[in-house]
Amino acid sequence: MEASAVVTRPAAASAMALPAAFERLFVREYARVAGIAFRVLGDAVGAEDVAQDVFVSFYRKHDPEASYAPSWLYAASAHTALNAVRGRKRREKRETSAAPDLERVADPEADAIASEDRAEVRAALARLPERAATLLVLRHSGLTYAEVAAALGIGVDQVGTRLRRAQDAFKREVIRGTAGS
Amino acid sequence: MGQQDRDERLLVSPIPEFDASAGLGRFRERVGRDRVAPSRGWIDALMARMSLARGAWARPLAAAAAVVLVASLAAVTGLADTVLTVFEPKQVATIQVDPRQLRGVPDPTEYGTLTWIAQPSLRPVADASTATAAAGFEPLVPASLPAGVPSQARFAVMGESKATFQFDEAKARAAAARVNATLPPMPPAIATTTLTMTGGPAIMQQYGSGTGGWTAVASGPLPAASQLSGTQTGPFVVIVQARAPVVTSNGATVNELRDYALAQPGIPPSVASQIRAIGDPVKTLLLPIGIDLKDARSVTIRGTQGYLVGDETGLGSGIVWLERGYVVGVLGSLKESDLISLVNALR
Repeated sequence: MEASAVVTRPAAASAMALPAAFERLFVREYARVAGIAFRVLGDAVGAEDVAQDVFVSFYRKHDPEASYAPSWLYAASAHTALNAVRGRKRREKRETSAAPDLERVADPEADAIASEDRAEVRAALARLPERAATLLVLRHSGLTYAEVAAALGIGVDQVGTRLRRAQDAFKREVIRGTAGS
Repeated sequence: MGQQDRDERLLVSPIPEFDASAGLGRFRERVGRDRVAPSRGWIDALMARMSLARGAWARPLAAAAAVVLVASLAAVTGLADTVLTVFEPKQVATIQVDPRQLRGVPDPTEYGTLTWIAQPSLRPVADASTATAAAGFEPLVPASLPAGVPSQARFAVMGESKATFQFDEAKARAAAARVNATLPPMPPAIATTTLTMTGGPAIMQQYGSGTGGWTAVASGPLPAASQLSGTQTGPFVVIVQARAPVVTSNGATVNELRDYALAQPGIPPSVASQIRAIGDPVKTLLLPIGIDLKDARSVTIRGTQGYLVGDETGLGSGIVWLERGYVVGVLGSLKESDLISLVNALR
């Protein structure tokens, strides 16, 4: 998968020690968990916020050495990000006017296209059934069929069929969104 | 560009490289700032199942527990202003608390600064003998287990943990202000006192699908929103045995600590009178029972007093008592009667 940029956000100076097993899990899985959220949100800062929330939820309640830890984190990231998109859409509906984007960009046209694409992805994913959206997001975040199957609790042999159905549904939603815009 | 190409492109746009080290720094800062505690595994599982950690009364009950702890370690008499062992429980006792009456009580844990010298950390070990060697004591083990609970045990050991609590009047006032309360003046002797608390080591035995249940969650359906903070399920029994905690004070007398604790705004007179009525507070671990917590009560177990939460549904029961210098807790997806039989047969 192509990498476009390294996203680094500073941490505050005050920090505390964490269990070593948790730190190992965090370092191993953080980029992937954030990447899954990014696939939904199209927003690096938002994706990192989702990843942080997901790790906090896991930290509170689960054993970092549990065999299911990565699967849980992947599914939770997709789920949390999809919920965030749905919540955002509800908020946007309530808002009658949008603030203009004053951020300066190097290539306004390309940025507008990219921004439009991201919005289309979010909108289409938000309209899909939860499991179909999650399957698509996980697969297109670089997870293998086996990893997707573990995260969704389905057989590996079911992933291909469900993925094709989910992709078809996604395309329909994109067309529906385009036609409606 | 065709529609199909565009559809594909939408889902394969580049993902940035996220910096895990920076993310970990943010995470550390957040859990420190928000005081997020790591999973205690089976404890959270049972607490969630028995709704002990939920509901509007959870925080007041926690506050009550802290008040009770401070008061109980303060209530011994005859100890001078030196480094004192002010709390080393040998038995448990319960007091009835109405959590609704405690909502205006400031959180006593915010009356100062808690500093960990050695944080509790649970480490899985191979077997009982390894656990015994690591913890320095031989744990009680069940003679038999209820039907349906596998007999193979998993062991973990927690080393000794140690923390200090330094009272801080400014912090206490700020904590009180958050609940619109005004504190009595903090006596100078308390304001300069540091309490030192030592706990453990401890051994945990787990039978059945505590962690196995977690695996089932992972291999099952996608976690729903409500499950993101969820826990394991399945038949299980957990036995935890820890050296009883010890608290020492380097300053205030125990009477000063008790009087200050019980003088806090919002402490119901019934709670204060129950605490004052404890016969031997230095040796008594007081556990608050919410009056709205059904099926929680004091019981006699293994010749001493214990604290039981349970019923006959089999959803979950737990019991805590003190025995020969150890705090022992047994929890599981058991009927109360099965739990008591198991505890009585520990050897």
